[in-house]
Amino acid sequence: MNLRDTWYAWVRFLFEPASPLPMAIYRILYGLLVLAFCFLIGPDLHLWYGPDGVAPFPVAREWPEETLFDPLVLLPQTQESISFTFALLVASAICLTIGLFTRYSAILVLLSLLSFHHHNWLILNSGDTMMRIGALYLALSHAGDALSVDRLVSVWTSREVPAQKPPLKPPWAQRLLQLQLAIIYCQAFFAKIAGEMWVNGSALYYTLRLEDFRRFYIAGLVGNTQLLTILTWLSLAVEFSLFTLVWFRDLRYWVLAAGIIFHISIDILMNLPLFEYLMIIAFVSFIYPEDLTRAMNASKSFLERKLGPPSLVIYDGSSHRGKRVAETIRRIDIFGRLLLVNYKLDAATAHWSRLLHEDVLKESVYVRHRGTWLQGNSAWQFIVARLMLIPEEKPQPEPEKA
Amino acid sequence: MAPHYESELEQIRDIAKLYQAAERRADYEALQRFVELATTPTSEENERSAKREAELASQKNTAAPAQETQAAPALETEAPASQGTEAPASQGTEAPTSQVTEAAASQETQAAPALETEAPALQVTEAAAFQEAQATAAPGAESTAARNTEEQARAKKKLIPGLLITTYIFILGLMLLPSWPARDALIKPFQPFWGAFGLWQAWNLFSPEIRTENLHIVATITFKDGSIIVWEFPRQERRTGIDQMRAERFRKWVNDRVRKNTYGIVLPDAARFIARLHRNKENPPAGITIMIHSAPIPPPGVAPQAPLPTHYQHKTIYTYKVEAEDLQ
Repeated sequence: MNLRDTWYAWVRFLFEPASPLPMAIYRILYGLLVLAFCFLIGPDLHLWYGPDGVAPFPVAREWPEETLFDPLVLLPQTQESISFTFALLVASAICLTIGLFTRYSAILVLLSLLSFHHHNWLILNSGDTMMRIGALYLALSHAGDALSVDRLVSVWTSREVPAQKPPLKPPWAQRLLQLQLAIIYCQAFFAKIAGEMWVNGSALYYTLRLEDFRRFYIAGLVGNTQLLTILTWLSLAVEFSLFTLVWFRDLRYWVLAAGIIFHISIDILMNLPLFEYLMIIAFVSFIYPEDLTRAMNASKSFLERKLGPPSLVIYDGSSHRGKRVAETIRRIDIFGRLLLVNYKLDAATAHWSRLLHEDVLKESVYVRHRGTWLQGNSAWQFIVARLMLIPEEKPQPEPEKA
Repeated sequence: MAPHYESELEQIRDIAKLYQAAERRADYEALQRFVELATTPTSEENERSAKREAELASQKNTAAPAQETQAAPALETEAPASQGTEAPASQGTEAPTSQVTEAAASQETQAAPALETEAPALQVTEAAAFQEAQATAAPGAESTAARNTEEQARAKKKLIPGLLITTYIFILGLMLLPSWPARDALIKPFQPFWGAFGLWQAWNLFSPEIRTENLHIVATITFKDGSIIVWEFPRQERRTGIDQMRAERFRKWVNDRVRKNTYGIVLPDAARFIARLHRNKENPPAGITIMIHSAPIPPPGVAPQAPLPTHYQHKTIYTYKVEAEDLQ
């Protein structure tokens, strides 16, 4: 491989169109974690950021002797400004989670986080850094192209019925997130092996004895020094794999599984509020879109076994409105709980009319429920219930035809 | 594992079977009949289909190069249909090849039937292209060349964004490296932007060494009348659940920043904060003393099961004389 081929491969890695699904899933999980952050910090907001709090504005400005982008300084230094910025963060995090004005929401989340982080740097931890960087990559990505309100709006307003699958887009923001993760584990690994404790295997012995970090105390584990030595080296091995072996397709999911176990174990034993979860959700960027689709199909299949076959909904496909409604429902119905059939298909129109005992079908949708056909509000209520995964009552077996 | 359906009719057919299994016979029959109707050609459609097939047959007999040139448009025309768009077929502007296509187009998402319809045309075209390729060059050479051209075009188009991203990753890597002269010189021009836009980061958690002592910090507040009270910073080991997660910010502030007096500005500020907490007009705080109580963690091998010692070491780290303006 020469230099030119390397460059081509790099460009292909960054820009070859791919499904936005991994970033869309990351967006949803990330948005929920930002809301969790808000839930945790909300009650102490003025303690940490208020003019009378731990770090009043002049103190916050003393570090780190360089210009920091902090939109909060443009507002009056009052509690109301802090509350306003916080409300903005909560609102934009909700929009980001549901995928409404996705890119703008991600930018607003980033700006709000930057404000809070730069306003009081004394209380920041690695979870905050990961959250801030996640917002940046989301703002650069096409995370709103799938599983989002934006997508529904584009389906609803589109003149043509858009493709069932979201369009492929250059995934460079997703690649940045992948590379960012690799860089994180790379630095974590090399910083650790530079110290004596990680090499001699005593690191976990000391870490799990730090009282201020402890969440759950498992005496059998904490008291077993041999096991702790092995786990120390195992932690290093996992961190090493997460920036090396993770790039090999055959090993990727094994490495990610080890990474998830690693982070969950830390979270059980130590109190590092959201950091572990922020790392785990970023692993989604490493999952191949086709595997995500396969996982979605498996969940549909599981629900089918648990809740029965999807409910039959027939719709008027001859009108633009009918098509838009059907296509929108189709996209909300990610678990495949509804089977949408166009009743205005020339050859079959009479067939449905006969079944519904109507000369002309006028409603935009009809729903089959317990051997009868629902229409109007009852049909819509039924559809909403199915979309919310509320199971349909089991129908009575129908009598055999004579 | 649920199958992936290429067409809506396939899915309907399968779900009909599920209805049958769930003893929903009427629904099963309704769907079966629907599928039958949707796939049964009408006489008009039959005529159109026969005409199209005749056209294909005549094309097959004509020269291969002519077919080859048609390959790209045929594929282009097919693409929207495969994505479920309702374009030409449903509008009737382009003669569809069979009734299946019509049914599919009017249902909007019938990708597979549409593809099935076009398949003979594509096969013929591909066969011609293949024969041509065999006659002129080694198999696969043309497609490799096309791929290379495509890659070249992409690499050229994405040169600037590609370089920008490469630079970003390079700087990010440099920023996280330990300090050394060449690295410091390289990152210097980027540092202001990096910090300003929140790209600063460090991932050396619990490394290279780990703290080997447990500690907690207290403040004694001396009031104007000489009375003294002791105020303890929130202690994580006495908290659980959500409460403990919330107090993590306190741990960071106290155990990391106040203890180390980061940048030499945190201790005076912490003292002023404690004074403000104990504001009292009649008897204001006059002095604050901040103390660390700690105990080393016994090294491995020394009774690992034994409980950790209480914080028996005491050290005063800061004393502050409270001024009137500190209480404003």
